[in-house]
Amino acid sequence: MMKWLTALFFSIIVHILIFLSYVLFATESVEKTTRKITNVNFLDDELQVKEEVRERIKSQEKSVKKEDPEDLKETKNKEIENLQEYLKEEEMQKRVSDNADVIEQISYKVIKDIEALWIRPNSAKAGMFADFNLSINRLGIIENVEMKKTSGDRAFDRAALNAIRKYRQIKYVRNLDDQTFQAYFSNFTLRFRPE
Amino acid sequence: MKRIIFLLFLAYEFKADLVLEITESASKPVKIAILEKNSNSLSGQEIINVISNDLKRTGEFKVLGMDELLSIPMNESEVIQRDWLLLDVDSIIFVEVQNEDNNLDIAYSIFDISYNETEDKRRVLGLPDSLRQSSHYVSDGIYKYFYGIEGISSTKLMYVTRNSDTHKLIISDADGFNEQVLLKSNNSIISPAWSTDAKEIAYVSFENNRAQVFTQNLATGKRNLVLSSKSSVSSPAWSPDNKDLAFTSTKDGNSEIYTINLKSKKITRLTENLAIDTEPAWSPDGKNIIFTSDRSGSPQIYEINVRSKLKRRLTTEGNYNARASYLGKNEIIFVHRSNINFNIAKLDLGSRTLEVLTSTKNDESPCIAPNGNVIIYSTKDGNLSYLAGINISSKVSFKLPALYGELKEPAWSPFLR
Repeated sequence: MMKWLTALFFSIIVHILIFLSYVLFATESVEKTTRKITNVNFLDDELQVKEEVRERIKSQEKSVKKEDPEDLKETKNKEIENLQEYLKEEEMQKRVSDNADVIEQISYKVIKDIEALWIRPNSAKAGMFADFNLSINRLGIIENVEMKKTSGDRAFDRAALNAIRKYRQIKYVRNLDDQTFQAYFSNFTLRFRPE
Repeated sequence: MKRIIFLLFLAYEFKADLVLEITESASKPVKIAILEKNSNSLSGQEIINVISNDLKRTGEFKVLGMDELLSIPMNESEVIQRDWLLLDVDSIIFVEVQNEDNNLDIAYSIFDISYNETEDKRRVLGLPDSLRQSSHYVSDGIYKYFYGIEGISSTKLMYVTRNSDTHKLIISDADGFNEQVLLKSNNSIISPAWSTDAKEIAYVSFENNRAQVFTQNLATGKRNLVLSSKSSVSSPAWSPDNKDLAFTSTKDGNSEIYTINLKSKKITRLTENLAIDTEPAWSPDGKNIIFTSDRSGSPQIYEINVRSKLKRRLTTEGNYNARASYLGKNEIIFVHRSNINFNIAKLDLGSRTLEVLTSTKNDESPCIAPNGNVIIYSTKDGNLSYLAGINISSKVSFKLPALYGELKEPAWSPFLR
């Protein structure tokens, strides 16, 4: 008899434990679901946005109703003008950025070429530099070289000038469009600054 | 590093100030041809030979031979620019020998090919029997025109030679020619040194069977005994104002650095140490002296302030650094052992960068040319010791003719003009 009572007691305890654990897990999953559902910021935002859009449309409709037909025409013209200006600007910027690559490529080649011709004098010291203004024609031939800033050392200036003289022609500019050539290479500065 | 700077960028007007920055230079030499103007004389050829060799030795010039030329103009008006552009020649040097009162003057002009005109015209006044020396002056003028610093072809070298038991103190031109014996002795001569005005020299002679420091006037030949000691004396070094000599002596027991005032003969002791302190050399401003000391266990370079006597160690790399001298204010050169070889090395005192300059094996006694761009040192090939040199900017090394069984301790003169 005692055996049966003990077995019953343990069975009850096991069942209670099973029930408790089920309750515990069930609550957890409920909480998780709640958290998911209560994560409302995003939903609210979306709603808000939608509402704002709706309100804007309404107010636009109202204002359109209020405006005269002439005013409307003017506004439309202005909008078109702005758009055209914007497109023009965008196109310009695109061309500038496209050109920047080409300019950089040509500049790199010119630097490499002149570096191969420049025999740096031993009097050259760190911090010393000389600037030369170059005018070149459409074929890239260096037509005029003018010293804008002397390094203060005769041999340094002479060696730099000699490198430019030897270079004579920048062939790479021939394929550039006129506008870019005029903007960048018809007149530019060469700085000799030893490192 | 290549840098392209777009200083101003105005998108609206499509206008920009483009600045291209050239920071690296070609490592190739200046290409020249040397021709005699309106003549073809023997003396002209001799001059051209001397100048060509002077310039070639620097490693910074390529001098074209006559067989490499496309045309040989007699003067500037006959230069066909195209021919010379094809050869990539920078300049033609026209030299002209002019006989004035039996002195041969040399007039020279530098004709720039890219400009197609004469850029520089000079004249070196000759003295009797000085055609070589006058030619060296022309070389120096050409060097300065192209490289901006003084050339060293017209300077002198002093060194000690030994053939069997004969020791000689010799002065020669910087190319090793035109030797003059200043002192001949059956005993050792060591540590020759130039005064900074090139009027006097100092050296240690053992002619009286003990170490004695002499100074000698080069114009009159008059000798002065400055120091005589039973103990060892060596390495006299002139102070930049030529009033003092620094030297090494063991008179107080072990090897220490001293200075002596040449007028008052007052001796000042600079170092006081149980280790060996030797080989003093003055800084260009005369405030400091560098010397070799083994106080750390191995020979290293130290610097001492002459007034305050404050010392600092300069070399830390390697276990053998000795025989140092200043190269300008911020660099020193010295003998440095790397692996098993003894080489000449340069240390930047600011950045602490060490650069080994030579590739020979047993280098010693480096000395610097007065323009700071060439180092000459003695080195050994088997039993033969000879003088070798290295150009710091072009890294070109060269050898001077070896005529002696033993040739050592070169000392480069200051500029003589």
